[in-house]
Amino acid sequence: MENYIVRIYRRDRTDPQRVNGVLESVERETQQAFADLDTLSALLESKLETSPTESTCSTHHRRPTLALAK
Amino acid sequence: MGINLESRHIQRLHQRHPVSGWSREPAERHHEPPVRIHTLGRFAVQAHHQPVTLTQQRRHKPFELLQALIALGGREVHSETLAAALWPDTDGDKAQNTFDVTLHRLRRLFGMKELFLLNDRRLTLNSQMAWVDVWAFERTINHCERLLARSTDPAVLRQLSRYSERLLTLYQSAFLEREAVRPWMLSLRERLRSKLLRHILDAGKVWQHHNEWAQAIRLYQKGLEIEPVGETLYQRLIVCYRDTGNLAEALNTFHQCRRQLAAQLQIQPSLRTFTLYQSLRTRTTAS
Repeated sequence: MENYIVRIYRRDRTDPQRVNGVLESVERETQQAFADLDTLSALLESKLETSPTESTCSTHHRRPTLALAK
Repeated sequence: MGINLESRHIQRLHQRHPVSGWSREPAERHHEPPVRIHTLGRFAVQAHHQPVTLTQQRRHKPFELLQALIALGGREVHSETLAAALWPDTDGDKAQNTFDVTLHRLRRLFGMKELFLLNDRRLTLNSQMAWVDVWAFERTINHCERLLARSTDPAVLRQLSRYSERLLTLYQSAFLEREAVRPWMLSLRERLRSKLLRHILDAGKVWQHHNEWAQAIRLYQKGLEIEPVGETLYQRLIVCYRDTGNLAEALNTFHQCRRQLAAQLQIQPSLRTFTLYQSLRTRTTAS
């Protein structure tokens, strides 16, 4: 299982897509900033593609777990 | 006679179903529990004032069981939940057996029969026998919330100051921060962090309202240690320094805010922060 924390620091009330925050990878102890929801989605997709557990695990379909914090 | 019977009955009930540490008032205990467990920052366990340690890495599982039990509430946590958390890749029966063995080792480590209560496959850490810092933290923060609701009373303010200080002492750093990260830690870790930040903002506002600037500044600084990109904390800190005439510190705080937001979020401070900055510039020029 992969675990991520999404921290949201700023929202644009007029445009719900514009959200500033960071995506923290719990296991890798890294974080990446995002400025909108599309970027957040792209960051997660790239994590899935590069995840070593995806390529080695054949019996379980592992999906990332998100903890939302604000 | 009736009172004695009732009191004995209550004592028996307490022994069978100890009240969880979460719900109790943060009052001083009449007796000191023999076990003390620290999880906010370093993980440390003491029994009768002596450290309880496990030296070999392969024997660390009993402590992980204790940590998971605390992380999952500490009271009536189902053994299947604990086994799934600690041995996620192990099949049900085998995981249960491993759970039983690990619990046995944990009990033997402390040598106190009533410390871990297992009823109907649900495990409870007996709050009559153990002091846990997260429980004390939760009780204290709940009490602070009640005090904040009555913060116009000077006597209440004195209490708030005391309990607020206790919170900061208890919260050395995040829950099990120095341990290897496990998914079951995250929920409690984030909840406690979020609660403390909320308290800092709420209590800080009260201190600002009463012109208790030092109290407010101390809280906001602690808040920034926990959340270095909390822009609201910077804004409040700038106001505190500005309104006490410490313009140099106010300007430093603005620049620190700008640096942190740029480094971690790649954004500029908000319009409100820039407006505060302008107010500082105006005052600096005037003086």
